[in-house]
Amino acid sequence: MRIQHILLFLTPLLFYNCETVFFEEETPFTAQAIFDEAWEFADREYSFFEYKEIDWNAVRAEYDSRIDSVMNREDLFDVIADMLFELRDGHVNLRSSFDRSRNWRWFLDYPPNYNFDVLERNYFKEEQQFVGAFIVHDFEDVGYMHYRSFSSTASEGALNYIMEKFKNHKGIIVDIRDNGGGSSGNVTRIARRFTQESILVGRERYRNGIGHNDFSEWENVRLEPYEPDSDIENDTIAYHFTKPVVLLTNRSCYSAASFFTQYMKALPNVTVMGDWTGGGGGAPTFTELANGWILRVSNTQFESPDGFNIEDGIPPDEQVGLRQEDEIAGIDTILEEALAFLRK
Amino acid sequence: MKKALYFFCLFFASTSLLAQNEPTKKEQRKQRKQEQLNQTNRYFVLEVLGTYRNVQDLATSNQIYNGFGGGIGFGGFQMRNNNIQEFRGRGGYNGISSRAGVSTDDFWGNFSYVYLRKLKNPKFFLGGQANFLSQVRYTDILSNSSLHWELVGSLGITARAQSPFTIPLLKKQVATYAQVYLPLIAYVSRPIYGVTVSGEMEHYVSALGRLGNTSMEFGMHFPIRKNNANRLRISYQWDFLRWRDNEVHKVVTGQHAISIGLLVSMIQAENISPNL
Repeated sequence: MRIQHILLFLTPLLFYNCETVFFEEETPFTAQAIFDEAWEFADREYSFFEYKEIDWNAVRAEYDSRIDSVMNREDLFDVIADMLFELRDGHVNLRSSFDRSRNWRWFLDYPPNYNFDVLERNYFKEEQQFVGAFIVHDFEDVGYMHYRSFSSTASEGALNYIMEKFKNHKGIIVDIRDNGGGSSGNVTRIARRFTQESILVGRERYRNGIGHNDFSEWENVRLEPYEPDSDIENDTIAYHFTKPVVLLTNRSCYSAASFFTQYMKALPNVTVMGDWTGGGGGAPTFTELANGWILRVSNTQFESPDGFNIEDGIPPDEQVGLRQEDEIAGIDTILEEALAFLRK
Repeated sequence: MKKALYFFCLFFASTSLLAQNEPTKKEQRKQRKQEQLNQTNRYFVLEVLGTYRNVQDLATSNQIYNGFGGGIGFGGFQMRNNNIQEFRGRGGYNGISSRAGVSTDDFWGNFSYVYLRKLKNPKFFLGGQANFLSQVRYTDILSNSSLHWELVGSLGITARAQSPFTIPLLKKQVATYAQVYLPLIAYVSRPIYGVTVSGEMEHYVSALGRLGNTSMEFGMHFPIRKNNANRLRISYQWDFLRWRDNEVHKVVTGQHAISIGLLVSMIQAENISPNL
C-alpha cells in the first residue's frame, strides 16, 4: 500500500466538522448575551420603529441596566418581556416553557362590544347551523355567518353552502368579533366570495436590511374573485354574494382579522360596523434564542390603497357600541343595527 | 457485337457483386458503436447513505443545528478508455436540533451529471459537472418562519484522481479515487423574507465568490467476488454550501455522508480494467 493510499483514507478525517469554521459564533448562555440577542433580533427585523416613533436604543439602555449575571431565568424573561412591551405590538411575543410575554392593551383598554352568550341564548336559540368553521343563522331575510378564528379552515364546500343558502336574502352579516386572527389563506378564501371582479385591497412591504427604514418596494395586493373548479362548477349554484354585506368588528379583531377587514372594506358592497379592529398589520417572523426561547416580531407592513397603515387598527364605517343596558336585556346592539341597516 | 454485349454484362455483374461486399453507412455506424461498447464498463448504481449535517442559517437564528440521518441514491456510472461519465441522484433526511433542543426536519436531494476526460497522466481526470441541490428545513415551532430552503443549480468543473492498489493480507485489488467539484456559476433560490411560509423566493445568479460551494468525495470500489463483474463502492462525501442573502442573512451547511453502493454491471469491456 503506497503512502498516497494511506493519505486517501486519512483525508476524510480532515473534513470533520470543517464547515463550522464558517459559522458565526453562537450566542453564549448568559443573561446579558440572551438579552442582547433578543434586542438585536428585534432591531434588524421589526417593521414599525419609525411608524411608532420608538427609540429602540434608548429602550435598550433602560432595560439593560436591569440585567445582572446572577439573575434567574424567570427574572431574565420578565426584563426582556418588559422591553418588548415597549413595542406596543400584539405580534411581539417571547415564549418560554413557563410563560408567554404579551401586550394586550390593543383590546384590554377598550370595551369588548361582544357577548357570545347573548347571541347563543337570544338569537340562535339552538337553531344555528355549524357549517364547517362557521356558525350560520338564518334571519329569514338576512343571512348571518359567524367566524371565530382564522386558524379554522374555511373550506370551499362550507362557503359554497353558505353562498347558496343566502343567495336570495337581502344581505349577509359576517361577524368576526373576537376573532384574534390565524391563517392568511383563510382571509383570501372568504373575502373573494363577496366580489366578482379583481379589487386592489392594499399594499405590503417587508424589512430587508439593517436600517429601521430598510424595506422592500411596496407591492400591490389584489383580491381575485373565487373561481370554482371547472369539474365541479354548477350553473345553478351561487358561488358569490355581491349584495349588501355588513362586517361586524371589535377591538379583539387582530392580525388576520384586521387583514380581512381591510380586504372587505375595499369592496363596494361591504359596510364595516362596530368598533375599530385591534390592528396587527405586521406579519411576524420568528427566531430561536440561545436558551431555546422563541421570539417573534412583526416583519412587514400593510397599508390600504389610500395609504392608511392598519397596524393600529381599522376604523369602522359605522361606529356602534354594545350598550350595557341592551346587553343586560339580552340584546346585541351592534347586531340589531346591522339587521336594520340591511333591511332598510 | 455479341462479344461486346458479353463483356458488358460480365462487367456489370462483377461491379454489382463488389458493391454488395462494401459495408453501408448504417453498418459502419453499428460497427463503431460495437467497438465503443467493447471499450466500455457501464454500471447501474444503487446506494445507501449514513449522513451527518451541520447548519447555521442566520435567517432563522444564530443557533447551530446538527444531527444524523440517512439517504438513498441511484445512478449510472460509465468508464471508457479515455473518459468517465456518471449520473447520480441522491436524497435523504436528517433529524437536526439546536443545543437547546429545538428540533428541525432537514430534507435534501441532489442530482448531478459528470463528464470527465482522462489527462496525459492516466490517473487524473478533468471535466465538467451539472448539479442541482435542494435543501429544505422545517422547524415546526417557528410557525411563520418554519420553512427555510436553498435550491442551487450549478455548472462547474470536476477533477478526479484514481489509482488501483492491493489490500494487503486480503490481497484484494481495489480502485481508489478522490473527486472534487467546484461550481463556477449557479442559480440560487432562498426565502425572500422572514415570513417564509409564504413560499416567496428570491432568485440569484451567482458566480464563484458570493456562493461558496464544493463537493469532495473519497472512495474505493472493488469486485464483489472474483470473476464477478459487479462491484461494491464505499465512499465518503463532504458537501459544503455557504451563501449570503444580504448584509444580515447568511446560511452555511455541511453534510458528511458515508455510502455503500452496489455497482451492477450492465456492460463489461473486453480490454478496459474496471480498476483504472
